[in-house]
Amino acid sequence: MVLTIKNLTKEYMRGNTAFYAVDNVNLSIDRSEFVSIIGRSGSGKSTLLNMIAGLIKPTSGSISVDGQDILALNDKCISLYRNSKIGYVPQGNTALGDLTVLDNVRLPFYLHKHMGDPTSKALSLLEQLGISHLAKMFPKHLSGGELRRVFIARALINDPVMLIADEPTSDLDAETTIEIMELFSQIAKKGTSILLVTHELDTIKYGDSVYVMEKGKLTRGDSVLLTSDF
Amino acid sequence: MKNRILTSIILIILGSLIALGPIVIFPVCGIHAEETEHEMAKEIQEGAMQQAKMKCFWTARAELGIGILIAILGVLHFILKSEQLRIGLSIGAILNGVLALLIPNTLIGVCRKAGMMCRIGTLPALTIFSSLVIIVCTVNVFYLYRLRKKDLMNA
Amino acid sequence: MILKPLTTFRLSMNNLRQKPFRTACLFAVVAILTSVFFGGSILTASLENGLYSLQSRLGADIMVVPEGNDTNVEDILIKAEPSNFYFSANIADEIKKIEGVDKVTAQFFMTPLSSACCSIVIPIIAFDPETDFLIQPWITKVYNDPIKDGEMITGSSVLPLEDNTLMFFNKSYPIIANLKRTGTGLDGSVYVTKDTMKQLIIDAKEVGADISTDENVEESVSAIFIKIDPAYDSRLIAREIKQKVPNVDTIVSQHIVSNISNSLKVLESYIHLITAVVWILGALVILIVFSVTLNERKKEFAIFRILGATRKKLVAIVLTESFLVSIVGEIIGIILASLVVFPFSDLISSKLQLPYLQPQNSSILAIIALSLILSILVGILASIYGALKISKAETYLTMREGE
Repeated sequence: MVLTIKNLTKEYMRGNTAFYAVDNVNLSIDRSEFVSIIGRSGSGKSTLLNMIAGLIKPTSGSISVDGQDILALNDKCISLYRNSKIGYVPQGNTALGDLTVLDNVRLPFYLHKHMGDPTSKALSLLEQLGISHLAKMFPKHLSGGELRRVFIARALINDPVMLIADEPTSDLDAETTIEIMELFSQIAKKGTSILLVTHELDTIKYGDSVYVMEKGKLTRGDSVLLTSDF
Repeated sequence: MKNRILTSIILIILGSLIALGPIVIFPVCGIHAEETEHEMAKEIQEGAMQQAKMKCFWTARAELGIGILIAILGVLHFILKSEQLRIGLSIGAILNGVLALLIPNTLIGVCRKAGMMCRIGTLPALTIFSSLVIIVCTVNVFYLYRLRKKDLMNA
Repeated sequence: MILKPLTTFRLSMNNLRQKPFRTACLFAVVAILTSVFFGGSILTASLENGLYSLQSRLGADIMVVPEGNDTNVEDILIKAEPSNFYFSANIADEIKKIEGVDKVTAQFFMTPLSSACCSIVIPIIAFDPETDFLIQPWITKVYNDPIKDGEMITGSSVLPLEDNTLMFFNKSYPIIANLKRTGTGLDGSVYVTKDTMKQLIIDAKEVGADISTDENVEESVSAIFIKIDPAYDSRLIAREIKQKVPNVDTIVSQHIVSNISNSLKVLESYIHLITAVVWILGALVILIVFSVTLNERKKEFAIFRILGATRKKLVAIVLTESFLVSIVGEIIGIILASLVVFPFSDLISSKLQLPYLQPQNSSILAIIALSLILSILVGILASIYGALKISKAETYLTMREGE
């Protein structure tokens, strides 16, 4: 198992009432498995993702990635985890505008000690994603779809065991959405697990498994989909 | 655009300083005082003055001309758009700067008496101003040359 | 394709390069701080060095001059303004008799008066090589021959003609020695023997120069310099001289030194005050600029954190930026201040009317190092608060804010 989540809960206080953004979630992801979590905005899916990324500490429960309990890690170790164990494709535009596309992709390599040649690796990733011709350009000149590919390449530079993506296609048109989702499929086939969070129904057919997140609770997808509306 | 304005402003300012410095800011001997013939003759006899009009006076005159020239080159630098022409103007300014540097230091010189304004004020000021002209224009030439090469490559 | 690695240094450099206006402003502020501190320090050091030099050059403990001329001595010493005053040479003999007096030597001043603008006159001072203890110790630092008639010794700022001579009243005099620079009016004087002085006076009359001087070089002197036995108090002996010898004024050189020292302290306190005000304002500006811009970069830092940068790394990037700003601003500031303080050193000295002697190169380097440390410290302090705050903020919330 690449990812094991047990009884994960995140509680916030709204005034005097407790509010569960993530409510007792259990989830396992295998190697090469492509998992989609679908839910409306406010369902807690982004909170779940951010806890898996180690950006937020849960109120209770456990998260284990590649056999490692990430809740016990200090800042240095969890930064390293976020840097190399997983690759995070955040929502929106998270490019560093002052760096070229190539430098954006190479950047995670330099944040911790790694072996190898990041430049050739970055170029190879860009080529696999079909955007190597944009290497020397600055992010502001790229389209939404091109940027998304840059972020995927950036997330893969340190060979993570799992890629997590927060609404990777929500700001893209239909055609580009299909291209990006096919890319994720290919990445999963090559051995990297994928955990994708989305609110677009069309995208769930690309995954191996589908889960639904509603009001902080996670349930296995298939049957619910036929009855609910999004 | 930015380079044009910046360089021409610098040249105009430095040129004016070179021209007016020896007259207004660090006045050299003889520029302002009205010396009577009698007093001057007396001084010559005393051996206190080496010649009728002192060297610094002529230096100031020469620098007035060169300074104005440099300022004019600065104005031209602003007006003319072509990079090649601006490189030429800058080279001209460099040569003028060299002349402005050599005149108070070797070609004409200033008074030999220590403590005189021309030695303690005008000379260092002219040396600094003319050196700045040379440095700024040299940098400008290299900058414009590289800019031109880039333009030619992109064309 | 080999590209340079994205080290902290390169990331910081890139950050600075991408916001040229902000970076230029920061450079300018640090440059101003540095040039004020450096310029002020060089000024202060030169003034103190000048005073020290004057003190060691004074040589005599007490000076005796004709009554009413005590202020003129300071003028000659500091400003090299001409003065001609004389009294009888016999006074020296009377002074020698006083208990506690160790050495006595006399000097004869002649400063040709001229009214036209350009003649900064050169005071000509005749001394007695046999009794002298004031000038010759400073000569032997340059040459070793004793001075002969018809020769001249010049202070450090008297410039000779090409053939190493000076011309006075149509006659040429060879220069046999130069004295060490003191930063006082003594630098502009010329020293001769009594016989040379007699010849100069004759020549002056021949060319009709106005010298207003007593012609009797043998029997008149301008000032008598006394070195007393260390066991005695110079003030007491000065008083005794005034009692025993009529129509004279005495100057205790300690007084000259302390007078100047007081003027110096006043000037220095102004310099220190201005420097302090500028630094406080400058530090505030840097603090504000850094805080504001760090706030703008919250999203950028959040991205870094998401990509796995540690808090330490973020702080390192910010501190490196601040360090670079300090170094470059420092260099600019020192160059600018040096363009003013060093080439115009003589001009400053003549405007201040105080002894002024540039300090040794080692002192100058020490001042440079000190101002560098200060500007780095200020930069770090200004940026560290913002940097730590940024790195602590919950990345998730920061990212959300940016949405």
